[in-house]
Amino acid sequence: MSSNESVFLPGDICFHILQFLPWKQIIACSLLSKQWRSEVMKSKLFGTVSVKGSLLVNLFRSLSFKVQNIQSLCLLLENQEQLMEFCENLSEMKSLKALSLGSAVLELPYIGDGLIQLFKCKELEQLSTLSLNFFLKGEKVGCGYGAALEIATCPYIGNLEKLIIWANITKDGVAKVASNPLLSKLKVFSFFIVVQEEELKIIYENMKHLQYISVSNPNPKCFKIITQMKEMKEIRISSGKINLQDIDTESMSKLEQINFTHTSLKSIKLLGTSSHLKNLSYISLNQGIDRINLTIEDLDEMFSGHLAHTLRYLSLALNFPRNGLLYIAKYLKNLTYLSIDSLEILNDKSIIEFTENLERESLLTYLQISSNNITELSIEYLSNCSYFNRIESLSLKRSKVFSFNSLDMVASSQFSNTIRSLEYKLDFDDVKIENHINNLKKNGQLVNLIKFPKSFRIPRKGSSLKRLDRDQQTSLVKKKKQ
Amino acid sequence: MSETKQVELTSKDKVSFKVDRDVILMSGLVKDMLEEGDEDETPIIPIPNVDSKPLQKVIEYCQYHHKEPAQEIEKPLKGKIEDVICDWDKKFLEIDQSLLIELIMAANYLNIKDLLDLTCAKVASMIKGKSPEQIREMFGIENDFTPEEEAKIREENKWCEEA
Repeated sequence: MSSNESVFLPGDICFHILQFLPWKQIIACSLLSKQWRSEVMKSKLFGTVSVKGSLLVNLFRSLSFKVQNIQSLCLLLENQEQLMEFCENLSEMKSLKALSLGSAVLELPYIGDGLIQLFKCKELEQLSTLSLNFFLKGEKVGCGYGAALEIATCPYIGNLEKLIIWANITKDGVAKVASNPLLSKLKVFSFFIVVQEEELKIIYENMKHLQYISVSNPNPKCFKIITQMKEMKEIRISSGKINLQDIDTESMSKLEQINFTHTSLKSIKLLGTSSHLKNLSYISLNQGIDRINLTIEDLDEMFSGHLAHTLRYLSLALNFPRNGLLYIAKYLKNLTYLSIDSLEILNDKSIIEFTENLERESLLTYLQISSNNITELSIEYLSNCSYFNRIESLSLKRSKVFSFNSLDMVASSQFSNTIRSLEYKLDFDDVKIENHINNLKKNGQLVNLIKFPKSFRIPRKGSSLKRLDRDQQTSLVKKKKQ
Repeated sequence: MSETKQVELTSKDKVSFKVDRDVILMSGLVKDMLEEGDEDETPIIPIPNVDSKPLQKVIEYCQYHHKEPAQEIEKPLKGKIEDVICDWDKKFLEIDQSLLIELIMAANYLNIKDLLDLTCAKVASMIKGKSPEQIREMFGIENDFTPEEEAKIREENKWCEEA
């Protein structure tokens, strides 16, 4: 068929095609022809819509696009009036299941009258997910607590399974929310503030079906209460040190994901050796400055047990042994995501060992190795390894500066057509890099690459970058003296 | 050993295809027709809306997928269609655009949902990221709006470009 030959597709087929498009493209298709416009106007199509508050008026008043079939809304409502207008129109949104509200400008009337109006809406009964985002700069003390009081007394939130509150709702606020008996079905409760045992006991007693919790800086007693929640599958600790060896892991048999910051070496090893944690598939550990030194013996002990079969996601920021990657290759055959941040410890030899110890096709789609000692040799080995054919994201962003040749190596790799994001340093102009990638794409290589290496100018003598380095050094010295 | 029952399909351009009954039962239309007919005969089913070339592709699809059920394709597509379908389907979709459109029509007529999803998702993947002008050019869609109507719709749609 020549591109000029006219095609007539029946309306139901146009509709079927539109279902696979994101909402902006659906709306753009209304301009194709009268027939396509008619299909778009049926508007049973929209899944998730994310719009700024200032555009909300258009969404509701638009003559062409009705909102009954929107299932998920993410709105940044900028003031009380917009929030009120949204509440007035909520009754039209019969299919809405997930609502995420935020505010760019935090105002007391927004939190006060606006939210009071929102929690009076009977339509909240249809929601399974509610996310409130008021964690913004300049937040006035007590604003979040006002929101918590509304949630605590709202009679229409009995069908919620997921409640996310990014706001300073205070620990009393958390206790009040958790005391609402209508929230007993809740599976996900996320609030990023510090609470004490008292609040967690209320959560423990009232939310028996909780599967996910995120908290800040829990003390050992608090963490113990969390681990006693029998249905818990995912724990996210945003700050504070936790020690697994101090608690009984028996009640954590359903735990699948753990994401925490500071812990002890014994705790890390326990993740791989405790028979009660055999459902763990996701481990994220960011040690920050106070890093633990893992040895190869630790890795052998940790990865040779149940994690060898269950672990899909591993993100570690700690002092990882130089030859540690070979233990990942040896044991973790089901890994799809791997991120190791080890400052300067890992080097090319680590990556060579990694590629040489894979015994079969790797399932990795994401690979990030952060170390200052990685050179282009690593790209050569990764590109030549026949077991990497699913990689979508490869990041070596703290590596040495690579030559242009590195792009050609990736283009001839097994993952040439799956790769979407590639990060490392190149000392070339962005335009030159982009042109080279476009030429490779014309040859059918790197066709899915969206994010590619950016130019990196090596600081010349006396350049502003050099001066910045000196300024940073001075600043560090001052900090140390303090 | 019992012999596999067959069905004979006749295309619009009078080409006949013998195909196992179990295979072609993936078609809702054929299934309905077979349920109405006599079980003992090898039925001849005319497919007057489908030419032999797309019909052959339909049979090829059914022969593979009646044993290997297709995975549901996400709506909307987050990336390219190639990211969410199996290798066999990728190879299957290596066809020219006119056959792809004929295949959509055939899948719709024969009521084969998975094939309709696959082919429509392929078209959606081709449309994604393109301007209305590029889409019209690609599929030969006639712009039947007056300049005034088009300007009005563009104005109506402006808000979503900013979103």
